[in-house]
Amino acid sequence: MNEVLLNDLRPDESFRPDITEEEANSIRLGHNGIKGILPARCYYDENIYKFEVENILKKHWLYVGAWDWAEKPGDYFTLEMFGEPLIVIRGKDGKLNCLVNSCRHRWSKILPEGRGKGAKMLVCPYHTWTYNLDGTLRGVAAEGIENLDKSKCSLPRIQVEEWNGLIFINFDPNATSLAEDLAPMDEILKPYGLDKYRSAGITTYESDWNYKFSFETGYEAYHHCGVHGDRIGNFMPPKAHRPLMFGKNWGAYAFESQPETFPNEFRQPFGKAPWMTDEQAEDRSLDAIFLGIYPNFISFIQPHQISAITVQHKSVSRNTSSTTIAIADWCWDRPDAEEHIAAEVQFMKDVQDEDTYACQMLERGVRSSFNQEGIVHPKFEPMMTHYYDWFLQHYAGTYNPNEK
Amino acid sequence: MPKITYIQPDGARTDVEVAIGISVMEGALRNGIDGIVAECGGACSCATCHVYVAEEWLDRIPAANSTENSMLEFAEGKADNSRLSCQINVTADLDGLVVTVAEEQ
Repeated sequence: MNEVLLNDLRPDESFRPDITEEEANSIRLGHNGIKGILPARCYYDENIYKFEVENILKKHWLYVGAWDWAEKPGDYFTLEMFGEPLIVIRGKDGKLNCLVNSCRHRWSKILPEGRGKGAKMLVCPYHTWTYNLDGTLRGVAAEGIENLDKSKCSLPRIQVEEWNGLIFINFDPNATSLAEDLAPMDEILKPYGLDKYRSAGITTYESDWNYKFSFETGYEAYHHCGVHGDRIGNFMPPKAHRPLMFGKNWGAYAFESQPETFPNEFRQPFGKAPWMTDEQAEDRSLDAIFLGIYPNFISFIQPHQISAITVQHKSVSRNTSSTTIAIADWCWDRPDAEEHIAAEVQFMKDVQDEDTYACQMLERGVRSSFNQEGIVHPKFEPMMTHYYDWFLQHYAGTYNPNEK
Repeated sequence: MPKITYIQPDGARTDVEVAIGISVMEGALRNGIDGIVAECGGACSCATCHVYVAEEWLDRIPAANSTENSMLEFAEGKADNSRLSCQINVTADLDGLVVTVAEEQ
């Protein structure tokens, strides 16, 4: 490999996305009440992407899977993030560990890709060096090495946190707790008991587009009338959604249904949730919550299910994504549960197929040199402005992680 | 072939004949003895083939080396007669050896 190529691979520490004052003002303040979107280059420029990896994606919480993918001690799944091979495994103490999946001896990958149950330890296939579930080196095969400090041979750890049954990782060892930031959202979600929802389905696909397109497509309901027209545009029309709440690194909007277009058999396919009063069961103002945690977690939450997207980041316009669905614990023994769960999973997959098409079309349209200034619909897409402002703060270096 | 007796934590005894030259751990796996996991396959890097050697045999088998001793630190319920069975090679002298399989590996 020649020197030029090596330099290309190294992130340029001094690079900062050059957003003009005019562009920033358009996003934050707008003109005549109409605000703009991020400049088009933020979706395809390699240098901006590298900046985002180091300063945004590796500094914030990234959703990687559901709690029951690693339910009991020794249960695990693997993933790859920015080319880093990782293992998420539940320890003997019941807490999750996120470890680098690469042996300290000669860097062989330890576990092959996939999921497993009940591992007692991690065994490197190359020379059978072993690690405890917390990543500490357990044994050097055949014969110990004199003067080797085993305490310095642990698998590197990445921060991991379970929030409402969702597993998030953070490459920043100093990152503050996700739960703390999301405490106001917890007030609303507490009765749901999301941490007991059981995984029911997953669809995995090559997401050949910038990761922000997946997030943004879920962060507004305006596209229901286009992308999902026949499927949900009629009963979840854009005008039935409103911004709900914003935090430092997140935002949520809510869907309020109408009895004429969204009858109870759609709304509560498994019947009333056991925690709901009759009054709550009749209240349609929170029939669905769309929660976004920046930069890339987007979810669709109803009392009986949660759907969310996990992204394994590879490059500016090529990632591997999975859309997951978990069904509330109380649903599984309700009448006709099997049939209803299958229908929920199929609905999630069909909606994702439509969103996939939308994201592919965004990726194919965004690179036009004529894309000067996009438009946020002031009534249907105000959440986007909060998201874009958050990016602008990171681009400009004004984002302060310690400020509440 | 030498006879080896494996005792389960609940007291159940199994006598099997084990070929000279293999380990007490391999003797267990080949004869379907429960409770010996041997995650690392005999490389002395996992401590999941933990057994207790009957008192009368302790002086008649070669002592554990430093690698085995360091791995025994990870063995659940370690006692003075604890050994890793992958590190005990079967010889003619071990005819009649009695080991108890550890309850947890």
